[in-house]
Amino acid sequence: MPRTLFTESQTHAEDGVRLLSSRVDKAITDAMEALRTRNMRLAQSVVEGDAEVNQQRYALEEEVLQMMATQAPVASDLRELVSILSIVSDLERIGDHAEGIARIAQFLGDDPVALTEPELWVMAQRVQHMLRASIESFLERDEAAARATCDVDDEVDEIYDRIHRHVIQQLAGLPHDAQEFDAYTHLLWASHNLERIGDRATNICERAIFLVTGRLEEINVSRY
Amino acid sequence: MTIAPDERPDLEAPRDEASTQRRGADLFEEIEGARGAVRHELDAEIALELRDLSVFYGHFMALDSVSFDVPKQEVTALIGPSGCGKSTLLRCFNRMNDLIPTARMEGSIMFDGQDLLGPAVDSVGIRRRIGMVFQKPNPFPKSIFANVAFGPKINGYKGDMPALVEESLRRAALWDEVKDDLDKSALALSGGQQQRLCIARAIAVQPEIILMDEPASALDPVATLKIEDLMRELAEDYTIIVVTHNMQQAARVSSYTAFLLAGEERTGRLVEFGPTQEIFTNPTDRRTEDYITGRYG
Repeated sequence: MPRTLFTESQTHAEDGVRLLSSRVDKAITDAMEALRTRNMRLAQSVVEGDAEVNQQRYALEEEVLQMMATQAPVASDLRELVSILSIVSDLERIGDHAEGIARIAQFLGDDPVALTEPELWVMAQRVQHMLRASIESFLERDEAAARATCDVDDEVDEIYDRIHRHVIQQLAGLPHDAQEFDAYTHLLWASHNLERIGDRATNICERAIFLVTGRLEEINVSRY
Repeated sequence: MTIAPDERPDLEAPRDEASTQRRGADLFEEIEGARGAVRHELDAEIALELRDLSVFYGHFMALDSVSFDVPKQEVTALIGPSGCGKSTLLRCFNRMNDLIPTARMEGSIMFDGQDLLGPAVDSVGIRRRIGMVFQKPNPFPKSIFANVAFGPKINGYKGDMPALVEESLRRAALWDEVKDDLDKSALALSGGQQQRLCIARAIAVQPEIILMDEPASALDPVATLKIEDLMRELAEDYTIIVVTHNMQQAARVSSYTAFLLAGEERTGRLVEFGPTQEIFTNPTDRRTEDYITGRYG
């Protein structure tokens, strides 16, 4: 096939996206596990691992810029590289949200309050599914899969609503000087982080659709 | 055989209901004989209307049924691999193929209400209205002034010749570099300057269309960018059709792009015509995508 060098670099960049996404995917798993088991060491490893995620993102960005500068890509090649630039930024932010959840786990420490919201883990499963499916739809250039993945965000928003309402109810029932105020507020933040991950996965799906169709469109605007 | 204007299918004529219900692509194929080419409907004013244009050199068919509209006062790029017929197509526009004894053309190219391929067309008159700039700069071995004044002079221009020469050189972005050396030989200029002189010479006869065949391929990158800037500027007043092998150049300078491709029998066909922005970001035809992304061949 002609353009061997470009095709090799393209495959390398795609592998990089896959690697970065599995890295932030694991960060979400670990952060949620740290929250559930109150494993402070695991939480700390997520926090520390975020620096590497950031580094990996910049390395990929540089690689893509290099390809754009030296290979003058056009059409679907250009769309893919521009999309990767956007996707690595979304993945890096997803890493930040995972780090945010790990920090909340650290803050809550031994406090079992998190366990009062079991739907948090259901929500995490949904957004992790969205993350994996969005990356696959991009790498496989599957428009239908990308659109279907965006629809999952509605479910994520609904879970977020329920957690939000439940936490508010808990807060309303607390005495004025209760120590749990901060803990419950942090739970809200944890669910907010998950909700944002869903939005970022939707962005990735939008890029998958752009790669296939050449049209930039906003899909399934989140209520948050 | 040339199709007379009154025999051409009338695109504006009302169609019966059954035909309007047919898929647009089928209809297009039937009416235009486009053989699958993706053709863009222009919003812009049209300078040239090509319909089923075929070119033969003896028994060899060099171009097969090319149909598209060239927009007025825009740069249109003709791209495609070597031997796809893009230079042949360019030469049809000012009847340069007449100079090749075995060449024969079918179909029509409508320009200002007349078919350029019609037998009554005065090819010299047409070449005044449709000028050409070639791949290699080809100034006459005369002074800079004489080069620019040559065309107007043989056309019997009676106006202020120095003013016309200055205006043409200014429009070709060369005046500031040569204004004190107008009597010097054109051959003393650099390659890039010579090419701009040829552009000045082409516009001195006030054409409506300027054809450019690889106008920057013999120039260095700086001179190339000057020619490209100039093409964009000239498109404000002239219709420009440029043949280029340089895909980035086509992307930079043109508003519309036609992609031609020859099959194994070496006959060139139009694959896709449309706004350059679309051709270079999201082409409709897989073959265009393969060519512009370098995966052709």
